[in-house]
Order: sequence, then C-alpha cells, then structure tokens
Amino acid sequence: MMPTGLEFDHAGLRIEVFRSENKATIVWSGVSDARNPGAQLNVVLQRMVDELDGCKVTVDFRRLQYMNSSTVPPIINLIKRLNARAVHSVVLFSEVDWQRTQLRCMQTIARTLPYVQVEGRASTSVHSMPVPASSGEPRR
Amino acid sequence: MEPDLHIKTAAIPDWSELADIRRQVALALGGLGDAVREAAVMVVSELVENAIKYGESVPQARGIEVSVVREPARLSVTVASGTRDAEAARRLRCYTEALATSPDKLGLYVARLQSLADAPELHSRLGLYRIGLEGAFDLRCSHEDGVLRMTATRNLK
Repeated sequence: MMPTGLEFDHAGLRIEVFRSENKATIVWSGVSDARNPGAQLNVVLQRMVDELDGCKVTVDFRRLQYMNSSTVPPIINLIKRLNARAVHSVVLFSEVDWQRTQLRCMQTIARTLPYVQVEGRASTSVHSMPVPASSGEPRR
Repeated sequence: MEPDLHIKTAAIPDWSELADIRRQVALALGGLGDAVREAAVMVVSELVENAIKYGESVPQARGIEVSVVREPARLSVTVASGTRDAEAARRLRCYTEALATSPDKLGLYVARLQSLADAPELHSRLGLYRIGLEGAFDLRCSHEDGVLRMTATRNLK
C-alpha cells in the first residue's frame, strides 16, 4: 500500500491514508487529547471518506496510544459515514486493555451497521500508553 | 495516608498541561501493572479535563487538586475543583451514583454512544461512563464549600 497524501497531523495525533487499487487503510497513531477533537476530525474524516469512495476500507486504531472520551463521537461518525456510503469496512482495535473496551462497544454499535465489521487483532507495533507523549501546543 | 502523587495548581490549568499530568500519574504508579496504571492515567485525565472545562476559581479552590493514593487493596484518585453551581453539582452526584450502582455499565456506555451518534451533544459525559466501564473505577462525587470533589476507587485485589 502507498501513502495517498491524505493525512491529518496535529498535536500528537496522526491519521494517514494508504491505498492500493480498491483497498485503503486509515491508520491512527499517537495521542488524541484535544479539547474538542470533533471540530477538526469530523471535517478531515469526511474528506477521507469522500476520497475513498469505491474502496474497501480498513480503519486501524492499533497504534493509537491514548484518546480522550471526546474522541469517541468523531470515530462513531466515521463508522456511520462509511456504512451510509455502503463502504465495506473493517475497524481494527488491539488487545491492550483500553482498546479492548472500545472494541466491545464498537462491536455492539456495528451490529446495526451492515457494511462495518469491528475486530480485535494483535499488532506488531508498540501501542500501549505507559507514558503518553506531550500533546504539543496549547489548544484553548 | 500519604498520597503517591499530589498536584495542586494555583489556577485552573491550561489544556496543554494535561499531558504532563498524565505523565506524572504514570510515573507515580510505576510499580503497578500496565492495565491498572493505564486505567488510572485515563481516569485522572478525564477528571482533570472536566475540571478544566467546567471548574471555576473559588476562594477555597483557586486551581485544581489531584491526589493519587495507592493502598495494598485499592487505588484512589481524587480531583477537586471549584464550582459555585450547587445544582450542577447535585445533578452530577445523582449521575455518578446511578453509574456506580448500575449492573450493566457496558449497556449504559453503548446506549450513551448510540444517543450521541444520533444527536451529538456538547456535554457528552462519556468520560464518566468510561471511568466506570473501561477503568473499572467506582466514582463518587461530593460538593462542599464550593469545592467539587470527584473520587474514583478501584480494588486491587
């Protein structure tokens, strides 16, 4: 898979899109702890969904080290948008404790979303959050 | 009991200070297993986020106070901040009591996610659900002399 140039990189959170023909992967990494992450993420993720029309999409959260609860609504919006566009999608969480809980919740929500499958899968990368990195510049 | 970590700020912290507070909690709880330590970091972060968002400087609490106490059988985290809104504090206490006594925390959390997905709200309160479900901490709330105290406790046995 090749980077598409579609990416978001701000205050410790990085979201990159990789694509190969009709398959694409949206990879989240780093820390999402903005005060109102939806303000930026909803716009960025909508653009990514638009660009990936016709692709089978994997959304990979396994390299995400930490996220605050305010990050959850934009993630749900992303999943619902993919489903609404009839994009066959697989959402991946890792087996670390905090991601496992999110996995269970998203699996429950995805029961009503026929195009979305949510899975737990081990990752070869380090993605727990022993000491989160600095989130960078102030966002108030 | 002497806390393993005590942070007292002179004013409501800036949002950018959250990462450093998380780092201090992680370091203070270095001897615990990853799962408990990471849960405690999340709990403190969510509670401090709320204190920054909704706290106000009052004579008894100009800033916020974070306390982490590790005992052989339990871990307690307290975040205190000022608020003059006694009614909001009362509602929050009712809310935390309902969450703490619910036998189905996963169901509550998922229902909350569903309702937010259908109709986004400014005050999601997801952090409080997350503390109980993901963190496995029991949350209690008190409001006295203008100081709101959120205490989260997890059994270590």
